[in-house]
Amino acid sequence: VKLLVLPLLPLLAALWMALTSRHGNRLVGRVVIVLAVIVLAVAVLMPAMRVEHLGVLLIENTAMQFDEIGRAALLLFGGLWLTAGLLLTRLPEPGPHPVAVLVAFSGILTLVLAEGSVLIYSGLLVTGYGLYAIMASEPDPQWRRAGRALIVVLVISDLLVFEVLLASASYPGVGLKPYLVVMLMIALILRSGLAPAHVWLPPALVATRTPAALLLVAVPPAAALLAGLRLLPADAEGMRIICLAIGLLGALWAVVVGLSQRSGRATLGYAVLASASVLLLALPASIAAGQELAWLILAMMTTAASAPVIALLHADRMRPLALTIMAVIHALAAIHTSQLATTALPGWAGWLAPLVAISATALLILAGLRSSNDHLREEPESDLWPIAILGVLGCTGLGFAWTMQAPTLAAFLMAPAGLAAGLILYRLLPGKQAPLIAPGDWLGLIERVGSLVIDRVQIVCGQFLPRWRDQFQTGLVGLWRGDFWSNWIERIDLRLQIWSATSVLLLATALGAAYLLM
Amino acid sequence: MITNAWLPVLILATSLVPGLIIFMLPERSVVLRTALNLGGAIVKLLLLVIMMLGVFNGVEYEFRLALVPGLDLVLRADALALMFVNLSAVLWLVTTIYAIGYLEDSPNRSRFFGYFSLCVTATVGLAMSGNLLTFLVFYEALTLTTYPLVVHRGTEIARKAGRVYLAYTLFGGALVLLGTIWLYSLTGTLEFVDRGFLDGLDISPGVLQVIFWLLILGVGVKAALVPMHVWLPQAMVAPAPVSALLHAVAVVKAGAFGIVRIMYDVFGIEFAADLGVTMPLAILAAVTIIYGSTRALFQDDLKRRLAFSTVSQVSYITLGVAIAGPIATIGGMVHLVHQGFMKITLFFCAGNFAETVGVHKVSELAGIGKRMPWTTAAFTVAAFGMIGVPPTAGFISKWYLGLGGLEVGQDWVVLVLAGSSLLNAAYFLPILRTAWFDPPPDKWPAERDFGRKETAWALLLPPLFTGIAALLFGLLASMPWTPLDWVQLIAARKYLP
Repeated sequence: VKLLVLPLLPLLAALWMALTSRHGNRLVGRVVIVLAVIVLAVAVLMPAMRVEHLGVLLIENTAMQFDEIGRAALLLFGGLWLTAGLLLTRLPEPGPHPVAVLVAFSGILTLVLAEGSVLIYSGLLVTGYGLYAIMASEPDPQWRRAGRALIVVLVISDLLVFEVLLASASYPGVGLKPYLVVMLMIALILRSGLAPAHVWLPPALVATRTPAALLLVAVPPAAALLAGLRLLPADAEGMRIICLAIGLLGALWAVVVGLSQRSGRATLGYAVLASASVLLLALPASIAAGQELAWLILAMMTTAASAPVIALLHADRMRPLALTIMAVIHALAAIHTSQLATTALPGWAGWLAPLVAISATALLILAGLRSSNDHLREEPESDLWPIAILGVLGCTGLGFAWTMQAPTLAAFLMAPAGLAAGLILYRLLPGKQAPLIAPGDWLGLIERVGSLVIDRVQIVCGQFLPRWRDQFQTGLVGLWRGDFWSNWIERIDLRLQIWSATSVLLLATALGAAYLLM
Repeated sequence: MITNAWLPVLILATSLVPGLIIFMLPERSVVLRTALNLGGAIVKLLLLVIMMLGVFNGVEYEFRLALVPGLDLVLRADALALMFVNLSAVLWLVTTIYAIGYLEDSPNRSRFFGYFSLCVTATVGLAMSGNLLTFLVFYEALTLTTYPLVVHRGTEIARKAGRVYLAYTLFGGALVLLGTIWLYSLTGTLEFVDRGFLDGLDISPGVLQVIFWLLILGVGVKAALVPMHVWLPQAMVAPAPVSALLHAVAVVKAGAFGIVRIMYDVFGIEFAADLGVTMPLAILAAVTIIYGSTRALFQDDLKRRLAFSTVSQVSYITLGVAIAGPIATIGGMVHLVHQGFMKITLFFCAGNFAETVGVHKVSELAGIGKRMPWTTAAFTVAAFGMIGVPPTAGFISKWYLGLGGLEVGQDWVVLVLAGSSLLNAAYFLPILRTAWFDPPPDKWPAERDFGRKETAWALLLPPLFTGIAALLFGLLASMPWTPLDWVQLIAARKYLP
């Protein structure tokens, strides 16, 4: 019951918010803060447990569990929503829709605590649509392009997860077949913001204010990777290849396009892509015992999410200091993740993982520095609390990961490389007015192809099908008109020439009746 | 037992008698008309509860009236019949409340409510038909009682839609009539029997296949199977309560229910599969599912979009039955109830948008969530149900249909479900996006003032009730006495020895 209460609390709060017509940012923020503190307290204080047969949603294997992965995840999401709540209390204009914020919170908590497959599916769905609604309640209309892309990838991903769950429920005890593993991987990649489904994230971050942006940065990749830890089988064939290919290509793409950006938020989108790629590379090595990766997800995602918050700090001294601290935590976590990834990678690819880790940190630094170019949307300066919370959680994640596997000297030596690379790149790259590649890169191409397909289908549905329908309908309605029949019989008469059609029809009727009576 | 024999007749009478009295009432007798409507609906529900308890415990309710030697008019309440009667009775009550609010101050209300009651009588009679003859009688009665409701507004468009409606449904009725006569001439019986009555008879399979298609295509007209669906979007000119009734309770569901009856109690599902007719029917249903969803995608008129959605969604029932497995049967039959609640919610909401602010088109719905949050919330729940998002009722249907398809090795069914869900999302999510997140216009096309309320209570409460039910049927599906629980009882009786 304790575990079931946790995701229900935000839902109850959402219901209350829906019932009250007026609610300012301050109230919404406070409600979110209270709920997030409860979640953090549970993460810190509650022992591991498992609840079976909840009897919700019909499925027999509905169960909830709270283990080390769940603890790390609760810290991550509790921290993110706490930070968002703190920022919301200071937002002067209407913030993200409170129901959306709370529903997404409920969804992510369900996902974290779910063991039964249907609950994980529900968690993924609710989180995805909740994040969409958070984005959609932003005043900047630019969110629409990103929103359209997000909703498409979410729906396709949901359907793939649904099919995988159906198949696994149909053949219990067999385990996931290889093609189902591939489908599940695709589904999780689609909703994680990993390449090639990253196109919505950079434009979304450009269009949203900080409370929404920090959730969009961290929640999709973390949710997808945690679901992967829960659902993917340890010995699945094909998983390593997919992780390797998507991880490496995604990181490469993130570096190429991320460097060509100008705004901090757009660069942050690509930095998140690179960071998520590092984590994806480590996924095959972590399936059997995922605690270490869960803590690393906590460290990397909290530090990535801190970038938009850092941009709100007072510029004099606090912003560079905070950026440096967060970048160091991120660099150490990324290198640690890459070392974890190396254990499952083929020998020839072993050196690539640290390179991806360094590039992720470099891009994050670049994003933080470029944020000074951003025209932030009249958001008030933030105090130190939000960034301190994210920093503490980042350190916690890194610390727990280190307790499971001690850091090597090489990690400490490689970590500064990412920081240095970011600083150098910031100095070297010219401050262009417009990015070489627009945020969202091939989103424009997808939109053009999509609209072409929709236009064609619309022509078929709007012109051809109604024409056929009218012809069919004319014939059918004509069946009840005498003149239609007389014309028809006349035409048969003309064609037969010898017999009158009336006689033929009478004969046919008589034969039919005789047959029935026999 | 006399009570057992007369209970089905009493259930019919609870809507037939008020309906006949209402015809004779003057327009101004609002209170009496309302009392008759609601009183009949409530008494029907009470009787239904008694019968459901009885059927659950194995009691048989049957009324038989000899028409000619060898041919009886039979009313029988088995578990399947009661599921449909229950759906009709509950939604009739809700729709009556809605219609009272919707038609306030409009002309010809006595005529409307009179036919409304007769329509429900025909539906309940069809549900409790104990043989094909009785089914045919009520099937045609349903056509004749719904026609005046379709043309209720009396406009030229309404009359044209009515003509199309009659042309299609009478054509379907003619096919059923032909199939029934042919079947009777071959077998000498038309009684519905669990697992059918044709297996083991010395009849050519080719003839039986022809009879099967005559019957199925005949009822398929009302079930809106492609290409016989054309009447349905055109019948949207009818008032919103009629649309709700046509789509969720009466006509379309009667067609789908007819398919279930013919498959299970005339042919028997195993025998139908042996005849080789189930797979083509499943394919026809799959085509209808995809076709309806695709057409819905490009409709700007909200009710037309919902109508094409019905074309698609009702074929889930046919698909579930045609797959021929116990789990798919559960999925198909439970969707009969779930779709009813979800679709009626959507039509109530569409009616509310039209009546309250004069919005009829999807493109005019921008910001309606701010003006009418409760109606839009109910619409949202029902739309998510149609897509199949957990924990709504639609998810349960799709889950069982998918599982059922995999159970019998028909993996393609899952692809059809996925494709349909994708299309459902494509035509419902933009509505939700524009309703909740786009800024509202400065002035609505035809806004009515309801004070502090978003609309009249009689218009608001029905969609809230059905929307909540659509949510709870999913969330609490595993509890006793839910639609899923009842359908599992039906499937057990149809499949287990």
